[in-house]
Amino acid sequence: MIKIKNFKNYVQHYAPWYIAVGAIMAIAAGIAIDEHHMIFSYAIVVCLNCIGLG
Amino acid sequence: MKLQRIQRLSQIISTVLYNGYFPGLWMGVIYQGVLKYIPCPGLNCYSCPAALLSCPIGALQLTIAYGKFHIPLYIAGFVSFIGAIVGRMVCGWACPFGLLQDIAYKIRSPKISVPHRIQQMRYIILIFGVILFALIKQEPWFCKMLCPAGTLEAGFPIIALNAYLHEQIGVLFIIKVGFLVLFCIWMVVSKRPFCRVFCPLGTLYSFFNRISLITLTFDASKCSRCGLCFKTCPMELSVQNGGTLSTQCIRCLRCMRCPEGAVRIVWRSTVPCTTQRRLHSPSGEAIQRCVTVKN
Repeated sequence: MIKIKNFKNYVQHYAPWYIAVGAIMAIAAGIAIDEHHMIFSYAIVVCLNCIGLG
Repeated sequence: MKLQRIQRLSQIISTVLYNGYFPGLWMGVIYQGVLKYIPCPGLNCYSCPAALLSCPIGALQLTIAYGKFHIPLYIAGFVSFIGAIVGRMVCGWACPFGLLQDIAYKIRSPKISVPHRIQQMRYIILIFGVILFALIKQEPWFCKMLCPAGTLEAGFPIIALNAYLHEQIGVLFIIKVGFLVLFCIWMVVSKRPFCRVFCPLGTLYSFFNRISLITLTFDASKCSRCGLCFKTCPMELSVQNGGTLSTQCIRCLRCMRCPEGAVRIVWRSTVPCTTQRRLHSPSGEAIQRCVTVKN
């Protein structure tokens, strides 16, 4: 069993892996609720309002 | 090839890849293909006629403003994934606006440094300008009101290529142009002012700098205090004072030009440290923890 003497060090070593896995799950969840399609549908329109015109 | 040349090449290639829809530049219409589903890692306006990918900050605001649950899972996941791997490296290697600032700073002029206190403004921009105002106003407020990258990459080309839009130019656009001019002047006299004071995307990536898999280490015992790292750093960070783990470090790796080899890029070990070794300056002051020490 690994005895962790310093929690901060443990977090610094494992956190990026946990975050990367969590991030992939978040991307999958976003795709599942069609977020990417919503972004796409706005991004393909020349959004004049979005760039300070109109 | 020198590391700095590789970095510049990477910046140019990423700018071209993000803006690879060249027909848009003479037809004045934006790309409508499936690549727009994918956000680009750097700050690049998706309303630019040549843009192939989406802007993560624009997409983040769209999801907050119009999304089903107002929680930007897709974009947050994308930014977190990149941040967890490379931290803020994208700012140094793959951001078109970063490239513009690096080139602008080469223009001969009197140079001034960016005061440390105003660098905290980027958190206010992120929290209020990008997240809260998008939620309250139900619109991409940052893009509409502030973003100088959008004015440069989308506003100007779209107006230039579509004559019927000239009458749409109002006070807001003029204010935005003024804002862009202000930043253009500032980036000539200061190193990367937009990244340090304003950029919400860089601020998001900066949260991962301390824990990212690719990180920088500094060995104080090798440091001869020549000051080369500070002179070459585009963010004006002091490596001796923990600059390599700073939220402002963009991992451009210019500090690796250190003749003593005191700065190294490392892949963070997956084995947890059970001890910590503190590196000390000649005066005995603790400088920075070494992250690769293990028992």
